[in-house]
Amino acid sequence: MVNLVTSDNESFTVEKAVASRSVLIKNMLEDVGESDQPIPLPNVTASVLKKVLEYCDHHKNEPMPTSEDLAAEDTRKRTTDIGEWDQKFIQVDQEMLFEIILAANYLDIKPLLDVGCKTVANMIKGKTPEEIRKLFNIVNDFTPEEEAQIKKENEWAEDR
Amino acid sequence: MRSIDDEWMAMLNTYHHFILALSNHTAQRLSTLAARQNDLGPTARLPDEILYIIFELVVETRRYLYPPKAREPLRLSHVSRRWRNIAIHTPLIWTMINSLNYSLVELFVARSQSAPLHIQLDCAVMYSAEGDVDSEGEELAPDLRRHKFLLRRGRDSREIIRLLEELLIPQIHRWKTLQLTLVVPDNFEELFASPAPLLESFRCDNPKRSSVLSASLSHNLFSGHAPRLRKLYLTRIHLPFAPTLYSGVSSLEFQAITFDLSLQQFVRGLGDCVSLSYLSLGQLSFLHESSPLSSAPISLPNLETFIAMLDMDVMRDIFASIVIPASSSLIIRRFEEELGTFFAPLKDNLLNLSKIHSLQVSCPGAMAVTGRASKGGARLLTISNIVAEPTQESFQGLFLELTLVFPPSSIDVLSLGWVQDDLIEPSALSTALGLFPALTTLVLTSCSPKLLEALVVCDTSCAVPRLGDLRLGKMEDTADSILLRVVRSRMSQSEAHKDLACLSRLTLYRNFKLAPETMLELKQFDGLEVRPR
Repeated sequence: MVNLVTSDNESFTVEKAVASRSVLIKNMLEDVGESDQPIPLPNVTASVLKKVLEYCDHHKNEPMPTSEDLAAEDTRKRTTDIGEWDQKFIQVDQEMLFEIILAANYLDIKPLLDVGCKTVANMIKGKTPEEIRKLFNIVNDFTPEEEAQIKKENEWAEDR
Repeated sequence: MRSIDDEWMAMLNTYHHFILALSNHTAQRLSTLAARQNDLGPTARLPDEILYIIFELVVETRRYLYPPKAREPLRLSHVSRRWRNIAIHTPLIWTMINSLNYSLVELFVARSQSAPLHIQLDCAVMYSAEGDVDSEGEELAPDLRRHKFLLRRGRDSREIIRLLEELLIPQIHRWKTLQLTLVVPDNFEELFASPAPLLESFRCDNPKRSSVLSASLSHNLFSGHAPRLRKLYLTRIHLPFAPTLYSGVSSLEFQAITFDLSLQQFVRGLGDCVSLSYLSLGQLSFLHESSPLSSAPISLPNLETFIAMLDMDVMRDIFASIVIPASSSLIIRRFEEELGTFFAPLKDNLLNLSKIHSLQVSCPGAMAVTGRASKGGARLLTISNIVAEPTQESFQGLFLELTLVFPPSSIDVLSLGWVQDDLIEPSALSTALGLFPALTTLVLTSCSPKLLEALVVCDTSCAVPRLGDLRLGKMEDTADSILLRVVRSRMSQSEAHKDLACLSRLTLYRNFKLAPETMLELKQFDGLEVRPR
């Protein structure tokens, strides 16, 4: 078993197979060897780690992505399809979604990072800039010069 | 007086400049404040490298669904300053060039930096003789509409040439896919004189019909150097066979081309395409007469799919000249011969026909036949859309002809669909089914009560004696009583038919109407699995 300690000082004891879905933790375990020492995760809060571990537990028996899988970038890009279980798993509020993406990035859990990024990409697809701003609470911060350039680009795009 | 006017104008100018400066300053300040507000927003927490990935996913995945509008990367770059900065520095999202606007293409070429390009430039092709409104919503008489369409098509084609010449040819070293629809000019081949080392797919459609010879590209296209070219799709334009370009091609499509070759020369050219796995030939003609076929058929050992939509004579000669591997799928479209002579020439010419992985034949408005023989698995035959011409006799004849092509003992799954209700009598179907003694699974996707009636076992009739799996789709009329008779007759031992297999599975698709009490009764049969879908 592996003991993980979050930024808000909560401890999680999980199977090694579950924790090792994170390449960061896997490497740490390999470097340190057998040890009872808790692993600190200063960039992850307890509520997010709980969610991340739920994902790792569900996928613990799946083969880890190989370097060839990672090299086959095209395959990842060609589809934003997300598996049924993953879809339900990632149905969280926007703040938690971004937290999961950040945690997956920090912990180096590529498949979870993919699920998170694909979810955000699906939210963006087909939306106008104004709709995207509304969705993510972004304000238009372009200078008048930039606005003029954007207007020109839109006219070109409307052309043919 | 003049000096007062001058002084007044000078003062106005000063005010004007002051107001402009103030307004610019305010706009800059507002922009800075808005940027600071964005720094506190939810997406601000995502690092740039994550947004790069997300942007690539947004644009890349849409490419494979349908041609994305040039707007997609633009939209991402029009959200905020940070998003714009990230988008502009994500070359991969600017690689799909599919606009005829010069400035926009220039922008995409620049922002894609050195990433491989996907180019899709199409002239207007949407002319329709129907209605009286053209593609731009203008009401015009048919002649004027056609005239306007042709003008636009010509203008678009010239614009495509200009874009190629001035912006895209200089980038030929990073073309990955190239799709062009344009009226091909005389000097077209000169455009592509440089090597295209990354090019994987080239599709060219010349919409202008020619009554004589199709336009042709030079065999020296890309200086003969496109080592990664795998997909080549040409419509009304021909690229002469040259081993350097064709040897790596795995998907080849020729449509509506008149070749300055004989059919034999053409087939020999195909023989050089040693990597072909997909071949689609449609509406081809040859200016040169073929001598009687004497040489041995060419081998295309890697062919997996062969789609043919050809005149009967051309098709017969091509089939006689190519050995189609046993594991491939053969699809024949718009087959316009009479049903009676349907299979005989194929059988004579196609040595592997009875062994090939699948055969699909479709005749306009008449029927579609599909056969599949999967290795070690069920051998499936699908017959559908028998709606118009076939009579009861020709229906039975069709089954007889099928047995000549597909060894009857090898077919254990038969799927029948859209057979007109008044076409056949139960006895005719029963006889026809009797030609396939190995059938264990029968799929009636849109069956009539008469079809179902044919499956009732009685002393004098037992169609499909080994039937264990019956799947039923749409049925308009009430079928409850007939279905119960079918099941009863197949679930009980028959003195007359000792070898009768017991029905073990009944699948009812969603559009099969059945009363709840009938369903209850069906579920009473021991050993019968009833599966509503």
